[in-house]
Amino acid sequence: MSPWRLFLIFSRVSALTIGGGYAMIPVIQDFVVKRYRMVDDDEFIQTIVTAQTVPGVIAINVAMLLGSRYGGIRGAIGATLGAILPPFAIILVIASFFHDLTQWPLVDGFFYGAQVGVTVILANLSWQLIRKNSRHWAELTTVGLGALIILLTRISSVLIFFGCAGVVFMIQLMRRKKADRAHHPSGSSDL
Amino acid sequence: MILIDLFLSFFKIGMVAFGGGYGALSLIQNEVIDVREWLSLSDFLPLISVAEMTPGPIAINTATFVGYQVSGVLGSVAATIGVTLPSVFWIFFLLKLIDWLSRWVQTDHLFGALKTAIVALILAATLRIGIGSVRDGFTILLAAGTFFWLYRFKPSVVWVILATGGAGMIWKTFISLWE
Repeated sequence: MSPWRLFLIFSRVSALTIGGGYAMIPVIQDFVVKRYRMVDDDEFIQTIVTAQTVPGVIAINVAMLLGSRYGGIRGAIGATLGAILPPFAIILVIASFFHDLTQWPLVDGFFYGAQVGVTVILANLSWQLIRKNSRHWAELTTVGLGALIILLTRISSVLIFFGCAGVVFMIQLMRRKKADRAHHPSGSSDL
Repeated sequence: MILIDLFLSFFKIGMVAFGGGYGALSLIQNEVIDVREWLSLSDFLPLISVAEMTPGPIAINTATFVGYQVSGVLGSVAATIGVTLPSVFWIFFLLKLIDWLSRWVQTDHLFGALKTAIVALILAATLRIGIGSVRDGFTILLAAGTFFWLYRFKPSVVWVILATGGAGMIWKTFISLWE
């Protein structure tokens, strides 16, 4: 597949999906599985899992994975540029007259309400994530403390993030060892 | 130089943004407001609202917007390239890295721990942004109502932003007419 074609496919995906991240996945799926038949459903799910395992923007990761598979390095570049350029252009246009726009009382009122919407979206996401981990109080305490440290101190949140990840990893390691010993009281663990 | 700082900040964010957009969003918020002090919270909040309403990945939209606010068109280019480049690194080195790491640890346990830790970032961003935006009777009521709506009926985030923005517009107009 030519880099140009990959560029066009991913620029359409990116220009047509609002809501970011997880909202984009079904749209990408519609395009690459149903319309352009680049991959089948199983391959697509595999790609999404890989794209979510690594850090970074999920849509960009998907563009790079599929682009490189169908067009090598040039394909990856085409797909990635396609995914970036439409939102980049749209934001640039908005940003260029944003300052004047916010002087209008109506626009000001809109953002006064919309930031409540942003808060609620984040709160709902936090709540879903907490509920998913709700059986593991030690992990929840760790991330709760981490959030408080980020909020109340000036320590870099990247550092706190890796600190939390380390503690969570140790907690889970100990829990698995304990479960292992319960299953094989005499044998050694092969973890 | 500001362009290099923008690039480096967003590169760092892209390198560690496990779990996609919202993890990245909380890292951007922390970096831009608290660490670099490029924008205030009240400047930053409208940017996120716009980033969630317009097409494209939220992290790209936010990077472009913040870059522009800090240093014009070149700033937005620097920030956007910064947040994108780490994907190149991760995608093309990932398989080798996982292979190498799997000699010592089970990598899915490692990635599982990293994904749990992202909750700390998202929780911190929720509290930080919540304190800035939910601050009077109207916004508390609006937040409670919206949370119920989102929890119960799971509308798309675009509708949530448009509806709360509309409510804010009506309320502010009402207040100004009242006075």
